[in-house]
Amino acid sequence: MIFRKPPPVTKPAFEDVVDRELMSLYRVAKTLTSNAADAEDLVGQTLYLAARAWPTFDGAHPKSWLIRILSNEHLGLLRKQNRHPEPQLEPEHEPTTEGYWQAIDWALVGDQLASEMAKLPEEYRLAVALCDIEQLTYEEAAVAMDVPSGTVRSRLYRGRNLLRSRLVHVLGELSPT
Amino acid sequence: MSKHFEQEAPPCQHMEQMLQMAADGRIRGLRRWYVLAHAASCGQCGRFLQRMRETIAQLRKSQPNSPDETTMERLKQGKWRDELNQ
Repeated sequence: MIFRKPPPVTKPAFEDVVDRELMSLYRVAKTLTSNAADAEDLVGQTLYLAARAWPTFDGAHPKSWLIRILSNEHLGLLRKQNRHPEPQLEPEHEPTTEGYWQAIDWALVGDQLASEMAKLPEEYRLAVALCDIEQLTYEEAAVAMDVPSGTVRSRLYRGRNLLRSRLVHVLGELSPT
Repeated sequence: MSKHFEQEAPPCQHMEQMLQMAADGRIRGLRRWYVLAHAASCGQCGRFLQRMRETIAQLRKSQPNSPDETTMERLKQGKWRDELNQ
């Protein structure tokens, strides 16, 4: 059997990566901080650190690389403030409802989602944000979170279950389309 | 106004991981077929799959925490560039 060497990664320009990923970075930052001003500061600090480290970056998975910097910076800030990043898990409950809430407006659902996301334990929140909102693969999320992909999956599944149980009265039987 | 709540039964334990992967479209081929066939014949797993699909679809659609245009512009021209040039 012949093994071929994978093609070398073409490194994009830093400005192109910033343009492409800025919105995602902000969303992840806001998910982590739950505060617009803190999210902006965090993104700014991330881009500053990323720009300085760019010459030594190999160009593979730039989005994951940026999110990893952002996540590490966030953890560093929390440590400085002596804040523990993980809120306690609330007891799980999974009520269901009939299709009464079908007509709920999407904007309301979005607000409710953001609010419920903010209450998730941080490690679950980040997994849901990366895999479901930013649609990273499990492997890319693993690089961003600096954990094995199996850990990403287990955090993601627990996060989704918690989110679902808290949102079921809002989402009801809403159609995804 | 009254709402009817009931406890939702969990999916079959050995299926949950594959149901989650089917819900977000990350399995293909025979494994996907097996999950969908199971979900079609098992009420609890079928309901779990449907609810997970809804939740994921809502997350993708509503994109919570997205910035407005002003914030985006501020971030693009942010002070991180000034600090970088110092």
